Amino acid sequence: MVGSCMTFSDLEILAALSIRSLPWGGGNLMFPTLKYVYLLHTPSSPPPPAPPITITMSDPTPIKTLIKQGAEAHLYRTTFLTPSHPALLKHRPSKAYRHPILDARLTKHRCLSEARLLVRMRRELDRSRIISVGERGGGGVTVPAVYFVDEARGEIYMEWITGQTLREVLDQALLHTTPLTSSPPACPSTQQDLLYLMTRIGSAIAAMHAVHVIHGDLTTSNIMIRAPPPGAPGDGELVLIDFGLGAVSASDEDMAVDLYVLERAFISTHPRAEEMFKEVLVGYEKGMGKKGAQVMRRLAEVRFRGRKRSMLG
Amino acid sequence: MAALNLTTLNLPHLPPNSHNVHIAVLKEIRNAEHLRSQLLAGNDDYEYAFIDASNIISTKHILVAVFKALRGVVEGSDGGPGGLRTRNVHSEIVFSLSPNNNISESFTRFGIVDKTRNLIAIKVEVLTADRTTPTTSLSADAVRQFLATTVEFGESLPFTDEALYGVSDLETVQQRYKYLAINKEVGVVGKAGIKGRQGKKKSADVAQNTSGIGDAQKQKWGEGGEDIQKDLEVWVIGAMVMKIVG
Ligand SMILES: Nc1ncnc2c1ncn2[C@@H]1O[C@H](COP(=O)(O)OP(=O)(O)O)[C@@H](O)[C@H]1O
Ligand SMILES: [Mg+2]
Repeated sequence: MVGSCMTFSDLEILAALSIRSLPWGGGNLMFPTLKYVYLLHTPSSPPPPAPPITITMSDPTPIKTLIKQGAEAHLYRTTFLTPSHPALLKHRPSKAYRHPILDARLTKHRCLSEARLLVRMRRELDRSRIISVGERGGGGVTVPAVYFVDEARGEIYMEWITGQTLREVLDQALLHTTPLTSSPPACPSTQQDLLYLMTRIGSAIAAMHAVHVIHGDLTTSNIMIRAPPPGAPGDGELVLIDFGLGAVSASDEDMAVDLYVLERAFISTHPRAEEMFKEVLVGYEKGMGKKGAQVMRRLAEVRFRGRKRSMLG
Repeated sequence: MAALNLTTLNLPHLPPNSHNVHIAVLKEIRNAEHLRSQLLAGNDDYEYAFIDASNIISTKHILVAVFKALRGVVEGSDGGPGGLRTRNVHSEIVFSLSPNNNISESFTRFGIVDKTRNLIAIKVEVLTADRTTPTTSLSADAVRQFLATTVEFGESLPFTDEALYGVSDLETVQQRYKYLAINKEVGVVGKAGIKGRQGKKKSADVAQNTSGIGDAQKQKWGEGGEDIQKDLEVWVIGAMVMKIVG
């Protein structure tokens, strides 16, 4: 039925070549349009039926680059489904020092619980009105979209966020005394911008708490600032990440502990970061509405307990 | 035999050359009842993932389901985790589309039904250890020939987001994944989405969407339609991967 026809491996190579040369899609959530290679099969005998078209798309060995290796997880930049769609792979490897059965259970639990929280939160934040944080417009808050989970292997594939962590931004802003010659896209250039970023972060945490999610490990490395696309006005969207220790709760105490953990993270970064954190609380209280004052009172208690504990050694 | 577009692809994050996936999108089919009866009768020739296209919003939606099913067979075979919850990789693809764990319901909701008009037909060939096709009956040509002679269809569409958007029924998708209900709480879906959305509008992905679906989406959802469509896709994929909807 089919006359001259390339072999499948030729097709694959063709496809791979044309696809590999594509640039990365950038920080897109939506998957970019698929790219195809078209091949016409020419029929050998008359009368010729309309030629069927084979479209081949293939990426047998996606690039997997280790970007971070934490205590808990290995983070890779890779692709998902199509070679032009960037993704983050968070892999929790098994730990030799843990009992194998306990280890497998813990990995599975953390994996599922993180992915579930991400999926739920993403929906809640998408539908909530607290999308645009701050009067300048722009810079809402979200969490990475989940693409795939293999809990047995300890893998989550999720949206790749192009940008920086708050930690990186604070390091650049507070540790460099001279202004950066080429400040990275997400890095605020003035003191005022930096303070404004802090209020937005407060509002972002409030948005998370408003949908009753407790982060559980709120550090400056677990808040990212998405780089706005070139030329776009407004601020980069805030992206909360790393929900492995997250939980669903509406308790003031849990919310206050989230804030306390973040406060400790700020203070340990740089002395000046303490004054930055005050702005975070301003944004938070405003974003929380009535409940804000309650959580603030709790925070004072949590701080007090923390001091007492450290005094007792 | 009518011309038939067939997309053949490999998915990443599976052993290289472990599989080929063949996908056809067939519009205005006239013999859904026959296809379904053969499928139910267990006729091996008809072992395909036959999906009612009205349930599907994008190519990714389909590919995630295929990927999930393939992780079950391909990875499962070499000792890793995996395994199938249903009879074969094709029924598993249909089940993978479901946002919950009810298997029989997943077939009647996402699979072909007697009144199916637009069909997505998927055939997976799992390659043997030496990475060759196990039987020639599964090759792209065999699949194309089978579909072209067995399915009575009006038009064969390419497997693209544009084509799928044209045959999808967004109301059905929202029902299947319980998304409309959620949006109703905050008001009309379009308006709720657009209101607070100034911040998101400028995000990179929106600028990226050059496919021309935009206009159609605007018609469907109003201004900001692309964002709402994208939110829906993110939810749909998350819901099916996590089986999160009761
Ligand atoms: N979705 C993502 N896109 C881009 N970078 C990410 C993403 N998720 C995490 N990272 C980077 O990897 C680091 C560690 O990820 P995280 O999920 O916090 O793992 P860990 O549990 O090891 O802290 C983050 O601080 C950030 O720099
Ligand atoms: Mg972290």
